[in-house]
Amino acid sequence: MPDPSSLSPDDPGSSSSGAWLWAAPEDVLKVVALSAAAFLLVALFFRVAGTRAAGQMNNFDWIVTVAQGAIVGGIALGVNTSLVEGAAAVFTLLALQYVVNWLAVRSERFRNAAFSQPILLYHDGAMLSEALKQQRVTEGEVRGAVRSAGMSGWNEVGAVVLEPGGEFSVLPRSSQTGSDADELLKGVTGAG
Amino acid sequence: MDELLQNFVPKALFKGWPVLFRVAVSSVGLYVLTLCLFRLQGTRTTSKMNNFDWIVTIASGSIFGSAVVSDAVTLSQAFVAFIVLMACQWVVTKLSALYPKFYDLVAASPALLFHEGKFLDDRLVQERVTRDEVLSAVRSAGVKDLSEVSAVVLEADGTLTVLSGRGNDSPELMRPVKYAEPAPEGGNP
Repeated sequence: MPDPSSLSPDDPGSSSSGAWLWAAPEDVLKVVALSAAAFLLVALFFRVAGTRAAGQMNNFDWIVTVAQGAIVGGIALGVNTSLVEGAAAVFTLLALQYVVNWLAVRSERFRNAAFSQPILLYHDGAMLSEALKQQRVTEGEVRGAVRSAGMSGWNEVGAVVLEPGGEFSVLPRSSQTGSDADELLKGVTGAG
Repeated sequence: MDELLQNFVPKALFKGWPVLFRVAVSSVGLYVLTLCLFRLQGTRTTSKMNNFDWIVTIASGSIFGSAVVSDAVTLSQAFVAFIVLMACQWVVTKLSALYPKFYDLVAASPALLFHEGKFLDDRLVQERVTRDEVLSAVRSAGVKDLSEVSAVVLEADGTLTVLSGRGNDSPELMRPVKYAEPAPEGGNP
């Protein structure tokens, strides 16, 4: 960190000198090496951790992925994060996610405790206003989701579900009776 | 005015005009660089082929952010970090396109999780994906009911694809998918 005096306008560390523009050549070389190392590290870690590690299936998968990306960025610049520290952080987050998902596929109780449930917001021609209020979703957002799904009218929509990943699913209205639609809404809060 | 700001406004609020100038120049510089690099590299950079593409994209964003606001990171360091990450990504995608063996080495193969009306439970456990997540993906695909789904595949980038349409899957489409061979009862290969 530069000393605070460099923040005054006439000091060498300020805009006029360009010290924030150019780093010393050895610092630049350090960045080259660290960036390449960070890339290799990520490639290796995620290959070993498997496909699921970068999946975006529930809402905190997302946060963890972004955090890992930020840590990798920190490693590449090498200013505040050392390679080993950063690698340890990425590894720990991967390991935690591995454990959480390992438990989730094996225990229903854990699944229910750790993950949010999908929620039915619109069904059988009516908005479920209680659910909307509880999930802090507006009717306008539901309408937006229906438009995004390319539906031309409410009569085409069977159900709208807020998924654990945070996005909306719009299910078309089922034409035939006795279909599998109930199976698909299994586990959705508010269905059935 | 400037002196007043220097002395009375806490540093957390305002660090002075030179810093603001630095932030403005860095933002514009990095924005233009990013635009040029991504244009140069084509669509592949920001797409998600394998599960770490995404991480590299976020890392680039994080470098961009640090370089704009941090005094400790110079613009040249951010430029170089950016270029090296992009170059690594370019090399990996190029080699993947040229040598299928290399692709198999760096990217996980897709896995079949649901097929012909049945959940392949062994695969679900192995890939650490729950049935609820598969159902969620099917709903997201806007499919009316489960009987319309011929397969759900966990792709190399960590997303779930839902193939709808009854009956015959195209063998060509399913060729690279792990365990795509007919998996009769219980889904064991």
